[in-house]
Formats: sequence, structure tokens, C-alpha cells
Amino acid sequence: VKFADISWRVKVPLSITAVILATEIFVTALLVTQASTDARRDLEASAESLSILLAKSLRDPLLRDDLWQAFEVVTAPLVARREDHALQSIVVLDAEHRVFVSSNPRQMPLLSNVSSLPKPMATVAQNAVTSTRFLFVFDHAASALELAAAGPILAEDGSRLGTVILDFDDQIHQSRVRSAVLNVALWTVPGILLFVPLGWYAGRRLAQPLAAMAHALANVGGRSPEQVIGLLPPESGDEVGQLSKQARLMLDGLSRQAALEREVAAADRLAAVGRVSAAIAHEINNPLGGMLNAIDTAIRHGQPDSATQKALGLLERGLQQIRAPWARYSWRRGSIRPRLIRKIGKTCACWYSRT
Amino acid sequence: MNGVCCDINTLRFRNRRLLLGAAVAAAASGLSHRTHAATPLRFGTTPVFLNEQVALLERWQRYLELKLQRPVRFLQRGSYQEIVDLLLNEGIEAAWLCGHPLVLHESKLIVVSVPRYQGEPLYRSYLIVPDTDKATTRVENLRGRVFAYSDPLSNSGYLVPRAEIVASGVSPTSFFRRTFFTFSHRKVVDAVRAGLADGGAGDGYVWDAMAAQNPLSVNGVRVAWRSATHGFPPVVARRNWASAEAHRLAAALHEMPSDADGRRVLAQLNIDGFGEAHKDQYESIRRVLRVSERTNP
Repeated sequence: VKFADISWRVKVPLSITAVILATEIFVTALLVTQASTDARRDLEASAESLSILLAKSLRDPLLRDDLWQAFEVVTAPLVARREDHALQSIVVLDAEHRVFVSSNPRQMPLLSNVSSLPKPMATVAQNAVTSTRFLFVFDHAASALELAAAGPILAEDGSRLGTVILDFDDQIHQSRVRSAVLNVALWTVPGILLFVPLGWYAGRRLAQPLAAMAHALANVGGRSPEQVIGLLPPESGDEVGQLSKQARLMLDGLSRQAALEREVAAADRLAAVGRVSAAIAHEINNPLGGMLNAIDTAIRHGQPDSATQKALGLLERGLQQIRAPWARYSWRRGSIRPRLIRKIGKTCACWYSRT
Repeated sequence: MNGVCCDINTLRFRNRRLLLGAAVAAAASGLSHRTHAATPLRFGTTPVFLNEQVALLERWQRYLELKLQRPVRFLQRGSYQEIVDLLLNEGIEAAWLCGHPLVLHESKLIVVSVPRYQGEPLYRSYLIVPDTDKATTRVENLRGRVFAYSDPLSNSGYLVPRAEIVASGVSPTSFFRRTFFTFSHRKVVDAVRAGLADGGAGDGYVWDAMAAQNPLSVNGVRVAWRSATHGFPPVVARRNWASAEAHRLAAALHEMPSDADGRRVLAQLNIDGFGEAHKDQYESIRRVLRVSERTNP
């Protein structure tokens, strides 16, 4: 079935539903992308803030070689963090790039080398020990997402005291992203469930006048214009309303034209009858005139007996009675009018019915 | 004041000059007492007990204020040395300190009172290692490892393990791969629990208090070795502080078991009470100090 052949009653709601679905999908994709980007930006921003804070807090412990205070500093963010925060461990390297302290000493023992650190930390540490800027690693490696950050610990004169390295749990980060995506999806589904039926209903309402118009026009010829007008949608200011108004005018015109045609046809028929009647009257009047002349002549000059005279008188009176109606319709070529013709026709018809 | 009045009555019978002098002295004593009543007694606390328990300190402060009839202010600092400095510089009048700084500054400090723990004014140093370390039975087993000391002026958390190492014929400066101070016995336990240190030394009384009050705080660690007994960390005062005040403080501490509030404080402190120091109470610490100083003059 071609789309062009589908009824507007289906096409309009279908189109609205398609637009709603497309919009929902687009908005969802946009929100999901935004959520993912925001999660990454949030992580990077919090990592940078934390690395700056730690760098300031670790300056004195590094200068005084106060391992316990450094340990308390690096464990505090992990103790205070929320369960869904991706921060996993913190390592502090000294100026010789060895582990000065770590939040997880069993996994990252004191004085161990950078190369012995877990991969994302080792990667960022190798770049960070020569950099004076904050570094953030967010790589989709083959096996997993690699998340780490690093920042320098500088003395007041800018000398390097060490490096702070932050390691993030990619699973927690991805779980947060998934949670955000799920939230977006959970808002999308009710949206679809609400707006698709609403869109379908609105589409049906929009297409209804058009369908009524099509149904009415389909009945033109099959039903009387008055019946067809009854099927038309109500007049309004929109396009379908204007169309309905024009159709109503058109059907009114058609109705009047049909009535006029019927009237003309009847007049034509009556005129024909009138013409025939006039001809008949002419044909009747002439012999009647002859017969009346003959009777008159016979009465005046024939000297008939009383019986004959009485019979002629009766005959003349009868002929006069016959002649009287027809005498009014004496044929005058070109002077006969439709109304007169109709009257003649009616008279003739009346007479014919009596005879 | 009754005591003072009694003295005045006795002196009246001797001679008027003495009576006049006594009256002046009594007036001066009353003025002095009023001055003392307005001046708070500054009492330094150190991690020889669980001094981070604010509610305990508030209760103990209320008890002492009631007994001494003067305000009492507890002061905490980050290390024993800071409290010792406050004592020596007359920043505080008394403090609950370790026996080691007392031995170091015997000429300037006097013992006011000594806690009684498990019936004795004695305690031990504990060597603490992770539960997973089944092999360590002495500090000598931790050669080349990371070790947590409590405080450089702590007997149990510094002197004793160093003396043990010295006694084994090794220099304590090169014995461990890395050492650090936590400045708290409780934090020595925390450091070993966290895996930051392979072992640590601390006050046995503090360990016992932690285990009794919060068993979870000693989960994952064990006591690998217990030292011989030493004099319990005493309450000390400046020698130049009024002896009468020191006696009043000692009396207030000694009366704690007979007072309901005092008993509650003692229960929270996990000690039996306070009493007089025994003779040569801190001789064992002097011996340990001498051993320790053999390689650390």
C-alpha cells in the first residue's frame, strides 16, 4: 500500500506518532550523550580539585617526611567519599618518583617504583613526573576504561616535592553513566506512553473534518445536495472549514441550478402543449367557423322548418360552446408567451380530460 | 578556710604579734585562694590514654572543677614534646605524661599521681603486627620492614622497641627499611591495620582499652610481643607549682573511686584509680633509656 493511498485518518496520527518517536529518540540520545559527557567532566573537575587540595595538604608532610600525616591526608578523601564516587586510591610519589605513601599500602607499598603501580596509574605517573600541569587520562582501552589523574606537589618556590596520583574505578564510573542513561530512558518511556496516544488522538481529531469532507463529496451525485450539505464538516476559519464553506456554496448553487432546470423543463413541456393546443384550436376554430357560418346561412336564408331551425339552433349553440374557449386562444404567430402557452396547455389538458 | 581559722585560734593563745602576722597571712591566703579560684588549672593531656574522647574529658573536667573548686582546662597538643614544653615554660600546671619525659626532666617535674591499671601502677609495651603475620614474635623479626613508632618521647612506643633492637646488637637507625611516628598509640594500631607499617609499638594499656571499648578497632592486628612492666604514665606537675595545689589535685584524683562521677570517668579511662607513685616507679624506664642511648647518644 502506498503512503499516498492511506487515509488521512491514519496518515495524520501516524505522522504525529512518528514525529513524537523521532523526537523522543533524538532527545534521549542527546541526553544520554550529555549525561556521559557531564559524568566525564564532573570526574575530571573533581579530580583536578582533589589533586590541588591534596598537593597543598601534602606539601608539609613531604617537607617534614611525616609519613603518617601524609597517610591521613590521602585516606581522608576515600573515607569521606560517597559509595558511588569512582575514586579508588591515591598515591603520592616523592621527588625520586618512588611511592612516598599510598592509600592502599598493601597494593602499592612504600618506596616502590612507578613501574610497579597498576596500569592506568603507572601510565599517568610516567607522564606526570615531568609535567607541572594537571593530567587526566580517560582512555577506552581494549579491556576496560582507564581512568587516572595526576598533579604536581610544588613547594612555595615552585620546586617539585612530589606527585599526587589519583586512580578511579572505571566500573563505578560506568555504572554512574549507566544509571544516568537509565534515568533518561525511564523518563523517555512514560513520555512515549503518554504522548503517542495523545498524538494519535490529536491526529485523528485533526483528520476528522478532512475525512468528513471527503465522505460528503463522495456522496455528491448519489444524494441530494441538501443531504450532502448535511454531511459536510462545520464551517470554520481553517482550511477545511473554508473548503466546507465553499462546498456548501457550490452545493447550494447546484441545488438551485437543478431546480431551475426542472422548472425550465416543465415550462418547455407546457409550451409544447400550448403550441399543440393553439394549433388544435386553430384547426378546430376554422371548421367551427365554417359550420357556424353555414348554420347561420341556413337559418337566415334557408327557411328551415321549426324542427330544423330548432335543431340548427341547438347545433349553433353547441358549436358556440365548443368555440368559446378556443376563440380566446386564437393563434397569433410570434405573440404567444410561455405563460400563455402554459395556460393554454393547462386549459387544453383540462378540456381533454373533460371530453 | 576552716583549717586557716583553726590555725588562727591556736596562734591567739601565743602572742598578739603572731596573731597579727597570722591574720595577715590568712588574709593573704584567702586572697590567694580567690585568685586561684578564678584562674583555671591548665591540665595537659597526651595520647597515653584515649584523649580524643571529648565527652570523657568534659566529664572528667566537671569532676575536677567540683573537687578543686576552680576552673579546669584540658589542653591537647600534637606530641609529647609540645606538652613537655608547655610544662617547662609554665604554659600548663599539670599533665598526664609518659614516664620517659618525666625521667628526662626529673629536676623540673614531680609526680602528682599514678594511675592504677589492673591493680598495679604498671603497664607494658606491645609489639603489634598484622594478623596475617604469624611469624613475628619479637621486634627483631621485623628487620628491613616498615615500622610505626608512637612518639619520640614515648617509653612504650619508642624507647622499648629501640632498646630491644639495641639489645640484639643492631643499630635501630638502620634496622628498619622505613620508620615513622604517628604521635598516638591508637594510630600505631591504625597504621598496622591499614598495612602502612609491618609492625608498630604502643602502649599496652591503650591497646587493652581499645579492645575493650571497640573490638573492631583492633581487628586484623595482633599483639606479637609484650614487654616487661614499666611505671604507668603518671600525672605530673611543674616543681615550681604550688605544692598545696599539687596535693589538692592529687587528692581529687585519688578520691575518684569513691565518687560516682569519678567512677564513671575511671570506667571510661579503663583504669582502677589513681594513687601515690611507688619508690623507683620509673627505674625500669631509666634502664631502657640507658640501653637505647647506647647507640643514640
